[in-house]
Amino acid sequence: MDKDTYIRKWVEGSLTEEERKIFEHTEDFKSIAKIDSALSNFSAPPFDVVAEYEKINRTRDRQIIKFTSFGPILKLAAVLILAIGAYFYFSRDQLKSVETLAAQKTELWLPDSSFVALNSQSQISFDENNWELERKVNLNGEGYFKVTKGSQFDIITSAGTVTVVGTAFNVKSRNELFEVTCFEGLVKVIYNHQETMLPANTAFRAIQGTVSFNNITTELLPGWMRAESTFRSVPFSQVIEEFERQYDHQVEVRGVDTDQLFSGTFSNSNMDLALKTISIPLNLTYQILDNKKIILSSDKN
Amino acid sequence: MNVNHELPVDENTCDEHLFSQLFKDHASDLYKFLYYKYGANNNPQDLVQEAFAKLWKNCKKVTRDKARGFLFTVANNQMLNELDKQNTKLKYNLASKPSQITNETPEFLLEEKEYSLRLQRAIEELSEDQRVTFLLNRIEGKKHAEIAEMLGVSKKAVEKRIYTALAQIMEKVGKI
Repeated sequence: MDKDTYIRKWVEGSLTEEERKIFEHTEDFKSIAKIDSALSNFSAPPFDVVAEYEKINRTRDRQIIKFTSFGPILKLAAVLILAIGAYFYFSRDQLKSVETLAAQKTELWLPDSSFVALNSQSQISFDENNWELERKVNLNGEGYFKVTKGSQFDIITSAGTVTVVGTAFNVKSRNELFEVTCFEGLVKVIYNHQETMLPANTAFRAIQGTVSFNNITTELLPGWMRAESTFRSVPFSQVIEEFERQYDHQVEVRGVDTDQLFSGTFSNSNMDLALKTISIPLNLTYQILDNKKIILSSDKN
Repeated sequence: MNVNHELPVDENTCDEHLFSQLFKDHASDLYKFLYYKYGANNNPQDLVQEAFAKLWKNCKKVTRDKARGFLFTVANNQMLNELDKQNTKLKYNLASKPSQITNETPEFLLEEKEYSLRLQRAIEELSEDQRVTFLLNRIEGKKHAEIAEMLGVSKKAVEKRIYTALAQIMEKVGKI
């Protein structure tokens, strides 16, 4: 057994008694012991639970005070509010809606405490009051979902539907591009009346109607949640559109075939670096104008 | 009808007594997680405060048994503004070192210091996920299954991160 295998099995706890004894006499084992000993010097500083709780308590109190400062008037108002509330409740659907602008990102929680992160220029809505009966979420744009274990709901986009069962995945629904990436668990994708089950570390993609499946690397979160935008063989037009979303700039393209496929990653937090990333591979030059406009042109011009 | 004073598990967390209990139960682990993942310069204490503030704000949607999962999901999905994000730096905890024995040679002490620096650098150079998994296991003694739950990944994924981190560190700190 080679060194790496010994270490792996030691960590997994799958060495036999005999193998363990052998391993404990190796240089590697001694190195590990020394590392463990030295690591204790980097342990986290102590956390003062009492003091920290006081802090959060003060924040919480400020939130509570807003609700209870009406005192006895509350009881009187309660009946009235209940009547008016009931009228509104029964007369129309209360849709909770969240939207992000260019260069903006946000996070929210669904009624079942599932976590949603929303990328730029996206919109999500769901019926908060009717969640038990209507477990549907409408999505425009791109969102990452980390679903509470045991929970189930549907995500509806203009291109297709994604059915969720306690998993983590990313849904991207932009012009002509519909992509679902499963990070954990299993996800059901309905596209064009066809059902597909998507296991972890795979992605379903439909570009201009063409469907493809891909195994993705074992990242745990989509690129945009790690401040970058990644593309695998997509038309350059998609790259430009995402750039515009991330940086809230308009890009004018001159003399470039925007149908050509592009693979690469640009930073979401450094515009110059991002521009270099998308222009250099295609031999393009760029010019940044004052009014949040960028001109991207081929060298030939 | 509940005989004891405990709230049933499907009560939501909008209760001060329950909230304080949840803080006592989970804040320390959450702090360690955030410290090892992002380092000392990214205000792990503030991130703990933020996570609990979010829990309170969304308390109607979170039942008591889902609270820990909620807090760690917030911690795992921190979208730290990349512009503000500081380099990962772990602090050397002098308090943990026993008082120096004076019969060690200067050369030995120097070697120890250099080893320590190489180790610190090696830890800081690990990916965030590798580092937090590795340190929670090696320093805090958290079991693989425990860490798997905190990170929302499989036990196998945790083990893989530990032995790849270990191999990387062993390479960087060199022979003893």
